Amino acid sequence: MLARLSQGRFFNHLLGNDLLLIIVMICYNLIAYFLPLVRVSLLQGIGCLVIINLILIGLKILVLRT
Amino acid sequence: MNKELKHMLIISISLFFIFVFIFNIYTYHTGNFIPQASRASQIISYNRLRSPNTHRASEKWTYPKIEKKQLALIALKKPHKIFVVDTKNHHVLYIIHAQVNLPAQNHPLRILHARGQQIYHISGSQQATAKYWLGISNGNYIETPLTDMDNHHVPRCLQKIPPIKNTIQVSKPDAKWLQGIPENTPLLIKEDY
Repeated sequence: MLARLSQGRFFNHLLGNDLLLIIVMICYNLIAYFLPLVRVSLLQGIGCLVIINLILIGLKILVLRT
Repeated sequence: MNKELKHMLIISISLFFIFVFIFNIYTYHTGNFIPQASRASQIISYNRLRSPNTHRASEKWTYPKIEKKQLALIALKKPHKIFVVDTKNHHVLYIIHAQVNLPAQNHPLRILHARGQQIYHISGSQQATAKYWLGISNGNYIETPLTDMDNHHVPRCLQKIPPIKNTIQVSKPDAKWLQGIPENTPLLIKEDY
């Protein structure tokens, strides 16, 4: 399944998605200077990225199967 | 934008905000906060904190104006912090990284009128120098250390500074700013939150 995914442009899109998500996280951390929001640390950000990537890969595999 | 990328972005940004929402709720309920001030003001001050450094201010922000405000200082030994609290509005104005070398007290100490540029701590033949000192009742001081008892310059990292009895050691800019704290401001020393 993963080999099939790597043949297409899925992982390119995933990388683009990750980069945009990192920008969203940085903007959130900047807003946290002014609003009482808890900042996301580096480790938490990486963990969040990994979990979201796994969910997206899982969803893509489900879509391909159906 | 590609359709697949659009869908991925919507899903990932929604998941990120759900995660952030849960994390905020969890931190507000179970995080470490002092009861004398609102949690929101404490979180904003935590977000602005730098790493402890003897040459830099504790927060990445300008010092707040403290004239005409009812202030209280709360020093916590284990977290190594001093909270400058506006008691009228229950707001934390500033958090200072500090080495608290005084025992926890049941009753608050008081800031004295005495303050100065340089102070020497002498023990036998040994001497330590500190600057921008502020007197506290019972013979205690808030100061920024220059040298330790062996006359060596103290390291940059505030947490590695050799402790001097009866003092609260803070960074140079913080000590300078704290000299503006009015006389009779209460200082409460606690072990932990």
